[in-house]
Amino acid sequence: MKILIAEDNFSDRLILKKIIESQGHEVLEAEDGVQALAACNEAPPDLVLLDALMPGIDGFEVARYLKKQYSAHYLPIIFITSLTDTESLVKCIESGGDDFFTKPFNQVILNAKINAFQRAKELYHTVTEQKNEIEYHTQHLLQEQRVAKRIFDNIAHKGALDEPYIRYEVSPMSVFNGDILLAAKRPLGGLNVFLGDFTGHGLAAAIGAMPASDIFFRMTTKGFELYEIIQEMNTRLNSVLPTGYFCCAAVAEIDFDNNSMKFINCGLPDAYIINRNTGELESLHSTHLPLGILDNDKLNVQIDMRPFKEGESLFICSDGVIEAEDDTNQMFGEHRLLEALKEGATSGCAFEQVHERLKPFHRSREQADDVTYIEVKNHKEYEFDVFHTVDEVFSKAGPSDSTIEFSLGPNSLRNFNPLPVLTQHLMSIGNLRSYRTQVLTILTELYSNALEHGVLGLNSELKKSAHGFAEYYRQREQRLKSLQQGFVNICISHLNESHGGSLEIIVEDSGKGFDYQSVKVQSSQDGLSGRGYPLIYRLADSLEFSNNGSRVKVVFKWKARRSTEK
Amino acid sequence: MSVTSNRTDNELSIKVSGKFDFSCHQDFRATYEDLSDKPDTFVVDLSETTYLDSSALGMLLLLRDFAGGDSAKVVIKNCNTEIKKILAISNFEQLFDIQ
Repeated sequence: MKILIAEDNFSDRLILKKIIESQGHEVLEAEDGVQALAACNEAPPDLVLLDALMPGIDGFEVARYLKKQYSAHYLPIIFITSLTDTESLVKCIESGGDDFFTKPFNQVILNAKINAFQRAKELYHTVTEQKNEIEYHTQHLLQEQRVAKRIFDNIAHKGALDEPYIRYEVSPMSVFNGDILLAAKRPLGGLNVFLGDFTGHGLAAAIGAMPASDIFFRMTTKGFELYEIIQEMNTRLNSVLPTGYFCCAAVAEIDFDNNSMKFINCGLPDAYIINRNTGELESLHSTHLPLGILDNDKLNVQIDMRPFKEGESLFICSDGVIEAEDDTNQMFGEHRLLEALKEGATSGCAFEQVHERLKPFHRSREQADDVTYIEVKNHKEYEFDVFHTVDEVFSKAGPSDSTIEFSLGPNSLRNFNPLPVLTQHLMSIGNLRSYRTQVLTILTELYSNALEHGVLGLNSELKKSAHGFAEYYRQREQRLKSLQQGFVNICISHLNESHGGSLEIIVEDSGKGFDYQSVKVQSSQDGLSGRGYPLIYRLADSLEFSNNGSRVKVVFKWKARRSTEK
Repeated sequence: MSVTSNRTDNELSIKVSGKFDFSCHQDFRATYEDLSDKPDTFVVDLSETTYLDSSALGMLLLLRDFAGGDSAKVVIKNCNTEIKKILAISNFEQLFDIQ
């Protein structure tokens, strides 16, 4: 070590120097305070032996200056003093001394003290080095996270969250968020919403969130059913997440046109249907295990089909809302959430109430959970563009004269949804893509009619009451499960014409058929038939029944849009 | 937080006191991982547990996996109302014997 001896007495200085040098240390000498400060400024020593009483600047002042000047360094000071009264010793310590050493000098004691400071010095060095290393790594990590966050945000993007009928809040506790909130418009109109809460937060959660949101967006735009999306997510998460990591989620498919909703809650707190007209709340409990724990057979996805009437809204939150704490460690709790929702229910601002009341509960806490909540309103002041115009205009690429045929037997009808495959094929037809919403609507209506009324023989009258609504879908599931025979055949051919094309869709089922004459009457009155044919009348160019109504032929013609063609 | 365990012939009983969260991770795993022979039944006693978060749910799943997955016999007992609610929300009664 390099040790500075600041001592005005020559013989004392000499004795100290001999003792210290005999231990192999390097010695710097100063005869007074001024020299001591100069020596330190030139090259700070590792230890200072400082005489308390010196002419000019005394030891106390030197100590005060050094401690202030080298506050970021480890510069221990041992006072050399002949004073032994407590008051003087206190003054040594108060001015910045770390220890004192009284005359007459004892070699053993001095060596022990120097050794002790040397050990402390080494420890200090180690700690400093580690601290710097940690700082470096932290900086590096944060930088990497910022870049990764940008990628993450692109994948788990906002989708349809900015629609006017949606209010939402996502507060990230770290660079990444353990919660994901996704919303996407369905090709038939309506909306899919997903709120997921991954175990933990940060990197692991974010990595799990990526396949989940990717699946959500891709399958939603392709028109897959809700249960298919959930099953796909569950399978993927189950295969990528290690045991002990999972995703609690609530997912809804909202159909504003039919005022209905499909919903499933897998491990999130109760979601709520808020009725603006009555001010009542209805809880939607968690009925399933979180996603990513079991395979699909064991998860046994059961979607709840329920009305979602005009004036109602859906509220979903992560458990971070309920567990948010204020300064006094009080949790927000379910009761406050319910109070807020009820308070805002009739004025249509349940979200705003929750938002306002949560404010004092945003104490930042290392372990705190992410706070995410959303309200989706089915209120008539928001216009829903059912057939939102599609912007893409395609040239005459893809197949130009093709026929695709599908025959589905009982097994296929149970386990397979032909619509995404058909849609994918049809959308590769040049410029038909601009009309995908219409085409998909027609196909969906035709297929569900054939399956539900034709093959399964379900009565559409049931769907008119709230109770019947659920009953209808219960029966649908039950009959589908025990389906032994029956078929649906779909044949779609298409032809390019000079300024567009035409599509002929024939759907045939094994059912008994129905009184299609009455449908025509209803459609002319614009009444609501349970079979969705008025909708098809509106969209298609022609609609023909044969085989007692069990075979239906629809022709859809379209014009190519030329506006952006070069 | 403390995790203690007690082994009888064919049962391992694990007791978690205080907060059951990520800080218990090592201790919780250590109670069962290094056993020379696997007991038939695992009992997780939450009588002194005040709080349980999602990482605790994860640890329970890890224990279930270790105990044999679908054929595992894992009993969770003595939960207070709050904890019971958390387990119910996650529908863990499908995976564990909750008493």
